[in-house]
Amino acid sequence: MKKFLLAVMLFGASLWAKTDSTSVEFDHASLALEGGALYLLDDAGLNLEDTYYGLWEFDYTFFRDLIGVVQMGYAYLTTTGNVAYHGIHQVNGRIGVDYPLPFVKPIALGAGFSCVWMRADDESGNTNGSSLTDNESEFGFYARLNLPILNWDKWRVGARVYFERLWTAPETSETAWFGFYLQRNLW
Amino acid sequence: MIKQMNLWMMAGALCAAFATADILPETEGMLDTRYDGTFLTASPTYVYDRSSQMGGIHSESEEWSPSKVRDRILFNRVSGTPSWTPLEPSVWMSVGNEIGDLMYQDPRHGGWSSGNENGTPMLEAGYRSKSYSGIWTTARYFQVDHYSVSNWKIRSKMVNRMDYSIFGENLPYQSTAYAGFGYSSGSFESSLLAGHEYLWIFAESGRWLPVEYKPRAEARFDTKYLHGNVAFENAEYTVLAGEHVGNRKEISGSIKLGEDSIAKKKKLWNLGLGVAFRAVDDSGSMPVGIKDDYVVFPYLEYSLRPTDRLSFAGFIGTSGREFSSKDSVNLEFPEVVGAKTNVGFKNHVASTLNPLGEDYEYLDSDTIHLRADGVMQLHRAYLDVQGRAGYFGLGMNIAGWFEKGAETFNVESYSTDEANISSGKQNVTYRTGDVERIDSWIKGFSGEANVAFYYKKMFLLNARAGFERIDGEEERFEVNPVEEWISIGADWNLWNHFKIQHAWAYRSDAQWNLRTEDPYVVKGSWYWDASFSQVFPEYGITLKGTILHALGKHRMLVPNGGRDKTRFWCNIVKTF
Repeated sequence: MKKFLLAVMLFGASLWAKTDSTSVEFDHASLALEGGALYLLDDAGLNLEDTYYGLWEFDYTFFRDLIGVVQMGYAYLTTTGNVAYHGIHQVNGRIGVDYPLPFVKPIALGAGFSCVWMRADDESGNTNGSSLTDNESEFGFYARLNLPILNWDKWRVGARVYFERLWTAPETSETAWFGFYLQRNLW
Repeated sequence: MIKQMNLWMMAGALCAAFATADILPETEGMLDTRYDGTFLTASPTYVYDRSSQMGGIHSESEEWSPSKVRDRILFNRVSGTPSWTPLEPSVWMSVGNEIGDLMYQDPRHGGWSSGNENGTPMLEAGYRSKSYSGIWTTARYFQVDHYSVSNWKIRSKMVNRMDYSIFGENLPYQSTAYAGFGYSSGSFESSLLAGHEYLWIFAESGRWLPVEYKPRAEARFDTKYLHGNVAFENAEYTVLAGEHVGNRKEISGSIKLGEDSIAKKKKLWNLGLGVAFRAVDDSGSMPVGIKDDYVVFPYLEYSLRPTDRLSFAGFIGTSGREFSSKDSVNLEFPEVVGAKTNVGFKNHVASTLNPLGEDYEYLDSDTIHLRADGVMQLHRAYLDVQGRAGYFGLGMNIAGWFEKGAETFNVESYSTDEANISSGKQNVTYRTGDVERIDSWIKGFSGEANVAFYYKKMFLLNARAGFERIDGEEERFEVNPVEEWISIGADWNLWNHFKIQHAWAYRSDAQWNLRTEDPYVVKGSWYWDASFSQVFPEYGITLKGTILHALGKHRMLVPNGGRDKTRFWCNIVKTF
């Protein structure tokens, strides 16, 4: 049993054992602007239209091959049907890591935590009885696929696909995001 | 600096056997990630905290001891929250939420979905500078809004406003901001902090007492053989806004001659002489009171170690009105096949658990007396074995205890209050009566086993399971503690860059007997806590995300308290 556990541990360790463990933190960093479409995957979509989003992203070398990711973005969700006000301001932030897949580098898989902040846009409607008259925020997690398309000099163009789940009540809320980005190495 | 051997650090000490730390909740003094006994949280400012190693039927925070002189005394309890101990030089920020905010309710249901409570956040930001010629500055704002929603309407009737906090409108139980400066040089440390604070303090009647400290100031100094702290508070107690408001000006603190953590020093003998004190000037309509408006509690702390393996330690003190004493003996056996064995005996004899707490609570026309005549005596014997062989660690402890004169509450009557909210009603139950004693023997027997698996510094798996049985002729216990608990956790530390901790735990039913007319059973529950950290050792930066109390149902763990919900919080720290 002891040998088995040890073997499992060593196998686990070998996933990271490819390169030297000397630190590369912040050796390289880049900034990206990204825009795309945001799709509501569950019944929240009944009275909200799918929309567009914009965000900026800061990437940095973290350790081994892992890339650290910090994002901040904005989207406006337009309401339909029986919602009394016109729309919802949504600000989102994400923090996580990307792992370039060894066999198809530089395509990367990523995951991390999300935070979304919302407030009803009440200039053109009535927000009484709404849960969004004051600020609401919720955490969740995301998973993403990062597909670089073109690289030249310090610049890169690519596409990203996200699945995101927010831990809202009484049911969780799922979204899918698809966008293109323009990225520049800072150092 | 005095090592605050409070629960927070005891948790660390207990887990040190496994070279790991508990997953940290949002702020110091919160204990809702501990599972080695009974930990029932009503709010960040109130927890019934009774580890399996304590014995007796009271909780740790009901008990005063010299190691807690820098914790807060909230009503008749000693609380680690809110902590005014300056943090290490760094800059930090945290934000979190009880998950389950009603974000998409409008498009889904056209408004508030009935029956769902909203979640509430926590916020913190602060810094402490490096020392410049020994001088440093610090500032910290922290508040935890969690557990606030379940009784907000009833509490809002008292203060008649929703912005009773430094920021936001959730009526958080704790909201603190302070700033100050300090001087550190060699073994000399001193600091002076001043700030503004809002607390909701849980009283013996079951009421939440809203207290605004405007201001609170605290000074501390430590040298190797002299330690002191003094706090000034101008506190406003609002039982009913505009009608029933009391003011208390208070000076409290302690001075001690002697080393800190005396019981831990490897010296033949060690003595400490200290005095803890508080003096109040109450005016208006105060809901609480201290006899003669002051307490002075001198105490003597001692340890004796005639051989390396045999040690005695304890303290004794008296205020003239009340006394308290504890003593212990521990014998460590020579190591046999990698196993360390300790046996010991502890005694606790006192006329009160907390000689520095309040003496009275005033509820309408009733006076609740918080001191009982007579003494309590608690005796506990234990055997503890911890061993390590190769990659494995194994341990167990068994203990037996008996107690006479345990403090309890003699309920005379109950009353209720309720408030209508859009999704139903909020209810609370209050009680009157007096603190009294159980004048018969209560006996307890407990056991716990733990096992760990280590792989270098990279991986640690640990599991623990325990039980306790309590028996007595008279079962007027405030709380029947849990009888079984189990936890399994793992820590990964991947090249000091990526840290993952998680713990999966179960505790069986506990029961509150005296806070509601029918006993209130806290059903057993599973918990899952996990924390993920990105660490940048070269830059001293840590980014951390923590999930707390996932899995189990969102229960109320204390009558009149808030609901225990799944929470997420993240934190960034840059150390200097």
